[in-house]
Amino acid sequence: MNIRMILGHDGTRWIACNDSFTATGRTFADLDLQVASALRAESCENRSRVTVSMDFDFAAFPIWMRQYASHYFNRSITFDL
Amino acid sequence: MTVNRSWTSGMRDSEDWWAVWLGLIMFAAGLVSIGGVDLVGWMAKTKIWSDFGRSVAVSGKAYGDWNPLGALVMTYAVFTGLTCAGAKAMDLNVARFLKGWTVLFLITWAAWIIGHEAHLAAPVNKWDKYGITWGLSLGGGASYILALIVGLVIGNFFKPLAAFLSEAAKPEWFIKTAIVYLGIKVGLMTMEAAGFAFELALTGACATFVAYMLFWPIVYAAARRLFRLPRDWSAVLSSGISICGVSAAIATGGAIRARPVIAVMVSMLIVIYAMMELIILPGFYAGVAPDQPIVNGAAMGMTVKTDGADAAAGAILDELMRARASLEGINWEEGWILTASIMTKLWIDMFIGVWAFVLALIWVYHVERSPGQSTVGLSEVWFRFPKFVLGYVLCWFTYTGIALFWPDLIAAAKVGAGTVQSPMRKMMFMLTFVSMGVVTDFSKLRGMGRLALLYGLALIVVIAPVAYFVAWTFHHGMTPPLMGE
Repeated sequence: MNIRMILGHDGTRWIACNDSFTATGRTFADLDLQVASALRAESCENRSRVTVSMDFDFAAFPIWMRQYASHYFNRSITFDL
Repeated sequence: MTVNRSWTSGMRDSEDWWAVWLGLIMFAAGLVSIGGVDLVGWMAKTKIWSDFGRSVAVSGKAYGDWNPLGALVMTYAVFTGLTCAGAKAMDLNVARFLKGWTVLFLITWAAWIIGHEAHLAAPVNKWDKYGITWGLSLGGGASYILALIVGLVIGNFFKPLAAFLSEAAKPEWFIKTAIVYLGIKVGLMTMEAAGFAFELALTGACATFVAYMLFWPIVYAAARRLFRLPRDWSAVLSSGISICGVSAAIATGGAIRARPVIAVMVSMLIVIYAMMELIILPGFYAGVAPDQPIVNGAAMGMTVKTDGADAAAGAILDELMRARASLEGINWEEGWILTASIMTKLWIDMFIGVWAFVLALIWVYHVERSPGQSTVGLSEVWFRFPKFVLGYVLCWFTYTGIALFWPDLIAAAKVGAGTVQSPMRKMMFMLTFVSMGVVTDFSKLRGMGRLALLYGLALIVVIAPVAYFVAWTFHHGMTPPLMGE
């Protein structure tokens, strides 16, 4: 199963969200743990493998910087639930 | 929300793509002159003047009966429409953009016209024509310098006005559009001196090697060992200083998944240092090595970060060096020094996506040691590729193709191309100068401490001297073709 999330950063924590849930973490390891536990809490118990694509929302950057680039990064992680 | 998910992401709403669209719209309009219709000749242009009433003219012969003021109004209307369409697509506040753009446009044209006053701009051999007995003979450089000064004064001493203009002050958007227009000029220049243009392109490729394989490791090592900066700060700063400024800092920050604040802080530093380089280097190079125009241009491309500052520095250098050479009776063709500067930079720009991809792999597999859990998509290379380069290359190759395959069309093609690559491109340069000044606030250097010191040291001790040595090795003795050759 593939799940898409929007990724951001509030200055302290990474924040990943979609319509179903929001996960946060000071590091990606923390974030990924939260995402995994949220997925387990949802109806994903019967799935063995889940790929979560996190696309960074470039709107998090100040407006003056957006003319220099329009992409920060996308990351993709795979869980065995 | 701005995320990149497919190869078409950003085509509608990113500044990079909008530089391509603004560039190609005028490129296409200019091409129509091949069919005998001049769609761009309404563009207003400045002329060297001693009588103010003759300071503005109409570009195209087909519009010769137009009042210059009418051409200026038409220029404002067309570019306001296009940029506001872009602003709307990019989700900017269009009302704020329109107000800011209008003021920027007025400041730009005022600086452009004043800078063409005969005492400032006229070459020595034209003093009689303008009825003057003394002058600075700065050519178009006077306008550029004036625009920069006005912008800097606003950005640093009239901050409420700078804030008002900020929605419209987009130096990177304007310069990327200008570089697409420059592709037309390079195409025309290639018609005349193909070997020279090819040599510039080839040595630009070598500059890429220097930036990525020489500058980056040296600066990174200095950041880690001498300044004890953390890995993420060191990597982002090294890319910003060594490669292509803010876009490289953002790309590297993303590649190594650094907190966005690192890229933001480093970018603020880059913008300020780029402005210092822009102020100092053109005059310095022109004064120290007046007989090495192409060396100076290429060195500028490797040294000055951000496309806007590099192109602006190249443009000032082009004007200053040609004005100085003309005092000795040498009249180099306009644009070659600028092209040396930009072509070097574009090569460096193009590989930032690949470099960021390599860094991402290194970080995932060696630094963070989390292979398999998190992956790096090859699509990241495309997302970080500077799209305006596509517009530049398309324009360049189209006009070179016309020269090669349909030489009979050259004269007609030059009618439209001449307007787009000269007055339109120069207006975008002028807008860049004013905007860069407006967005540069030197007070932001406060509190940057070790970062600012490292940046300054790396620039003076490593980047500038090595860049000049490399440029000299490849280009020494090369001079632009003489006018009329």
